[in-house]
Amino acid sequence: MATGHIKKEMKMKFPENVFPEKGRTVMKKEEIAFNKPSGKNPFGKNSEPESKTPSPHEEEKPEESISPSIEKNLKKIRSLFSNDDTFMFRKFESAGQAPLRCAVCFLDGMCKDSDVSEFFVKPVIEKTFDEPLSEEKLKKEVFYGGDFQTETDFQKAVEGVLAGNSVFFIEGFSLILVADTKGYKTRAPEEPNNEKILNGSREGFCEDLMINLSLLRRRLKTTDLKIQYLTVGEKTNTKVAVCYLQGIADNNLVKGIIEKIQAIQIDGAVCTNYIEELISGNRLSPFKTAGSTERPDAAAAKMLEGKVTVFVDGTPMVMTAPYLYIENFISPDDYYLHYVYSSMMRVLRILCFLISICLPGLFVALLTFHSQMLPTEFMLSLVGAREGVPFPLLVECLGLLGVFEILRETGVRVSSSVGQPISIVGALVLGEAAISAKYVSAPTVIIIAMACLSGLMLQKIKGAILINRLLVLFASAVLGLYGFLFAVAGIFFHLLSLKSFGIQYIGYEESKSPRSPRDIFVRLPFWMQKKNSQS
Amino acid sequence: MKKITLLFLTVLLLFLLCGCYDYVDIEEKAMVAGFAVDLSENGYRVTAELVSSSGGSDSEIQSKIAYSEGKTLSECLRNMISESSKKLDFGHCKIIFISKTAAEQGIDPILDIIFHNDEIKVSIDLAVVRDNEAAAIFQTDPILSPIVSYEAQKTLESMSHYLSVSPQGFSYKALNHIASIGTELVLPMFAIRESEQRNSFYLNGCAYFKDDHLAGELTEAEGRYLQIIRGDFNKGRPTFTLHDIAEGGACCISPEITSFSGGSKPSPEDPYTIYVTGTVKLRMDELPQGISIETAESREKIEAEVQKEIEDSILTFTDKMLRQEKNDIFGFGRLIYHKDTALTKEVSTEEYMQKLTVKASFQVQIESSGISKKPLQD
Repeated sequence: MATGHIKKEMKMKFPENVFPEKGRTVMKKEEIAFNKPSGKNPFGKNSEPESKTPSPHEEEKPEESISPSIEKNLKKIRSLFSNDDTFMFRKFESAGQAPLRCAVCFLDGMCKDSDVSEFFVKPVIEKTFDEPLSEEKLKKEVFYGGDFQTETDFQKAVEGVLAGNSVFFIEGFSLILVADTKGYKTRAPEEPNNEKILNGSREGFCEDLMINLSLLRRRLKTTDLKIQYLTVGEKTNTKVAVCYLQGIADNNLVKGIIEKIQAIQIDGAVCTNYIEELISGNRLSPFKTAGSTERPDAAAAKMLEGKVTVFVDGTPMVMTAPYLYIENFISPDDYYLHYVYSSMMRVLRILCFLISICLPGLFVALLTFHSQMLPTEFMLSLVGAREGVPFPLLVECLGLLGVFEILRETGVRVSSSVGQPISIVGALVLGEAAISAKYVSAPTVIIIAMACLSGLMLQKIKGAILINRLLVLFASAVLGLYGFLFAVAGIFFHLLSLKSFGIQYIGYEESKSPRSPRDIFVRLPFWMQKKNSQS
Repeated sequence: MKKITLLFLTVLLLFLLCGCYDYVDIEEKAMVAGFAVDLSENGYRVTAELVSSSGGSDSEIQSKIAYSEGKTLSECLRNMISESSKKLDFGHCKIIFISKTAAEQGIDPILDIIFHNDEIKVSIDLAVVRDNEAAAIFQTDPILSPIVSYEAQKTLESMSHYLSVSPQGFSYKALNHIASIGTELVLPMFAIRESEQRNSFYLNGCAYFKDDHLAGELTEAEGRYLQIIRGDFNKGRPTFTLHDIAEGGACCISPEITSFSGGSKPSPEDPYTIYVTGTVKLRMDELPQGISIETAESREKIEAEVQKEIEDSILTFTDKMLRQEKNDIFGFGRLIYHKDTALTKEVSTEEYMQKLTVKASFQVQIESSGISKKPLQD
């Protein structure tokens, strides 16, 4: 991987301390150091593990001890959460000559009150202690019913409260109990809107990391499924889980991804895309080199192909890596429907990609430079339709593409009840009126509509399609068919030069590719495909 | 940053140095559907049929006529640009009509224009207009298309496919015939029918050439036999006269020739003997009174008469062209040349045409009736 290039881009995009405002991504010296060329490919199969540059996350911070005094601890934690009205604390104690005094801290709305009362408050206030308790007795006889961890670092108390746990300070003990009493509301797993299928599972990931991991584990009931937690974001402390199947996923790939995530220094990572953009490389390419899915079945299937999935707490999108170009044309439906139909649909999607990118450019090139190549009958109808249109064909195409993008974006952003009237007004009324008023010609509307409609089929690369379509269109308008060929060849060469986490993005290397060669352009029946596991 | 600047400059130069120099929107061009070449006092007169449209969703295609004169054809075409407000585009020019007088003077200049103009396609059709000026054809009312040139070109295509009464006048083939040894050019010929209701054009035989000069005309039947001799016959519906079968004297039948295979080839022993052979399959869908195809015997009688007529007609036609007109439109000379190159160099064209013996041998088979494609059985 061209790590040297990434370093430069990072410097360009995120110069040190230029955007120190809250929420901005700030790349520090340490991260830039991470991207220095090491001379070895961290994702190469045969490469030795890269010598790790120590990142600030891995450096041990000096532990901040917990005071045996509840008051001191409360004062300290209250000062940290000052001006936060959701921060709550309660003091309670037992009866007896040597009462057990405790204080609990939590964030309102993040915690399940009944669990706190039932498992931690009630055992204390209902008991009588006449002599001081040992730590052992405290765990075994008082808080025996709850799920908790003891910590001695004050920072853990803060992190515990932020994570939705309740933190207990106990008078006389230099430790805290971090109790898992999370009780915030999460969305139930629903069918993802972006990846709807005809047959198959209706489950989709939700915003809760643990639910998402359980959805994955339900599909991969094996001890080979490995999950490693990481934390990203100085302000958000977002929990990230890197999942892979041991024995199938390449160790160097896993190691490389983990190292890159550990090296991320960012204020907050609220979505998978933050991590994706920061670790996937190829930042100037319009093509995505890391995949994402909202479907547990798709994530499990990708892991069976040897890919690594990255879950981010708070988002239903799961990143998959490496990501091959052909995956843009693969739908989860392909594996639920008959292989003949699936294969036909896959070929259709590839054709639609070509139509969507090439059709407007080809149309402009043929009409303005090589009209003699068109059939005469077609030419006659075009002459009739274009007569009286005041704009050059290129401007007409650009205008229509712009209008389509406006309509599409408006349709996406508004509620479904408004979306239909927008379609009617935009597509039917506006289109018909524009043709009648001779602002645009009907054949151009048809060509642009076909190109845009074909592009809608491929939601995963809609951005790349838009950029490439414009590139081909401009090149064709400048140089005719030569320009068209140059642009298409340029796109193809660019795709050939791309790599996703060390794997060729386009093209097939059997030794490296995670995909079966019989599941690329068409999906052959499962009985003709090889076993997924390489081991 | 350096890379981005470089990329930006490259794209900018792409636009500034070579961008859009020949970008022309189609509505900015005057599409020439066809043109007619006539002789004038100064030299040539070229009349072009231009396609125009009213535009909009209910646009209507119309044709406009523009003409110009000049000493050469190139001058005529150049002058025509000054008459039209738009750039002339010959990319969809389908046919060139040539008047008889212009064809008699020679069609070399026309072929020259076709092969030296980058817009005119070499597959463009050539046709001769009988009796009138060639430009008069643009004053006729076409039936199915608003553009005369396109309708005429379609007529030639249909004729070639369904009637085979004339070779289609592709310009590249025309050049081959003019430039090759032992063959002459034949082009389709249009005539104009004038009436009070409407003037119309129709295909009326062929025009044959000697070198690049018009030398004479062929009837429709002769055009058909020419195609049979050349081996270019596709389908057709010729009329044959049956003399000995019908009870009430001679009668005519017009069967459809559903398939034809054959052509001409020189004898292996004697290069001056040409065999014209072929297998003709007929479909009888119109039977005059007293004619039957129900029995094998009755069919054989018809087949024999048709075969005799074909053979006799071919012999008469070849004799007329070779001996009287002294014109080898059949390409017999080329066949001899291909068989023995030295032979045609030793013998002059007139000499080999006098020496040639043509022998015709055809097999005729009534294959089916008009209502069924199944082979007839007793």
